[in-house]
Amino acid sequence: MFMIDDFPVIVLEGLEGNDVAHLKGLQVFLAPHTEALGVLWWVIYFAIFIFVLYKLFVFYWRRM
Amino acid sequence: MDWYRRLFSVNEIEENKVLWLMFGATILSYFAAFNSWFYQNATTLDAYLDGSYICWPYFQSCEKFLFLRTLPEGYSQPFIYMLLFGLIFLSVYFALKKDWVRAHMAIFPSFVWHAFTIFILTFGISGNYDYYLFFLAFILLFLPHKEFFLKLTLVLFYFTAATIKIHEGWVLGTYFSALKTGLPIFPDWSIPIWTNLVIFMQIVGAWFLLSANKFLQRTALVFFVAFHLYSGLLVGYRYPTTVLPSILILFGPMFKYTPPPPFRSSVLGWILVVLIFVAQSISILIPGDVKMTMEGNKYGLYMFEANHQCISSTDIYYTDGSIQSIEKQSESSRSRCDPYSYWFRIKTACERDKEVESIAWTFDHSINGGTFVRIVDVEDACALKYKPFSHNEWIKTIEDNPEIMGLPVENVYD
Repeated sequence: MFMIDDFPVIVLEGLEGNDVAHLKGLQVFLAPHTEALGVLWWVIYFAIFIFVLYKLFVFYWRRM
Repeated sequence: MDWYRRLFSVNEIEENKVLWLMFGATILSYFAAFNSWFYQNATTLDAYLDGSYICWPYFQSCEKFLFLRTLPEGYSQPFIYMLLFGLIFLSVYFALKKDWVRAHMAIFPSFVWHAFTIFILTFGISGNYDYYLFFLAFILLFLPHKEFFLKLTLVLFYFTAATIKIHEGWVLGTYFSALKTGLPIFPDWSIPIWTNLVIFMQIVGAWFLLSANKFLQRTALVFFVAFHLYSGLLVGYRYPTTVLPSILILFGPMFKYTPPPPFRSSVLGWILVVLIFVAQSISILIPGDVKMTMEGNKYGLYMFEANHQCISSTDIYYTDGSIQSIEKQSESSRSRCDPYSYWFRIKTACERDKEVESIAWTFDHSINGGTFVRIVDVEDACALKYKPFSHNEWIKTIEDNPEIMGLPVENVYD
């Protein structure tokens, strides 16, 4: 077991010799915005969900 | 036979080539499922005897149904699966004769056994592909307006599965960067591009599969076919075997726009659609990060929801004053590290061994290469209960400020 900053590194059986997991490439730039990106995806998700429900409602309304 | 044909709308299959092929795809999926379960110990009496069985949280006494035995202990489970194989074969025979009522009857036991196994018999052996098979087979075999609801349900699987990806593991792509082997083919620096593209296609692009616009429809089709072939690099044959034939049949060269059916005759189908959303919502509604607590995780789709590593440590205190320490580690990203599964086996040990006085238990969990967090730290796990549809206070969430134990190294998909 070795230390990085304040935390010890825990190496499970079978993973000996592997690097400590860390951010790579674009992840480094996106990491500070993870929460905002998550919110954005939820907004898009619910927008699509409501749009589909609306289209379905209109479809059945016209057939009544 | 007429009542049977009417009850399950078998006439739709008789008149529709798309449904003929879907019938074949369903048979192929059952073959793949049963082939992988043939020698499976988890569904046998021996799993009960050696204490390795795990029941669903909503039915924690499934051992009542563990009576089969498989090789090398017995023949009863192989007998069941060869019986089902014979019926599947018979179903193919009737399908080739276009006797769809008898083909339907012959595949019925496969549906029942598959559903019984994945939802009652064991918590341990099902995958998301089994949910796909269950819902698609249910629509194909029992519901009216089969083609419309088959198409809609496949799209909804993508749409609802997107909810589990709105998390660091996919938004940043740390699921894959925490793997020693990274994302297949693509370089590490580009991981978020591909993971966010998948989220976009599952939320937005999947609906184009239903579109009357040929360009959008074919673009979505090509994307999802490529996606499943690519993801097969990790998941192997079973998942694409269940999904790809259905996609090609429903959205491939034979695709025609299918308008929503009349509401009154399609109520059952819409109830099923609501059920899919409700099932997917359970884990979201339970307080805490489901990727960490795993509470409600398996009630909805959960493919690649997080990259897991964990350590479960128990100190077993016996009535004679002795103590036995046991540590179990899980390093494979797809091994779910569900505290419930570990607790279930501890509970079994508590119930069986009268010499056990108490079992102290800690459970450290790391997701997506993040720190190991001690989410369970109890003096006596034997006294715990597990609530299937709400938060269990003994599993700590981030709000409880659990102790940080250390950093993980890159792991493997095994």
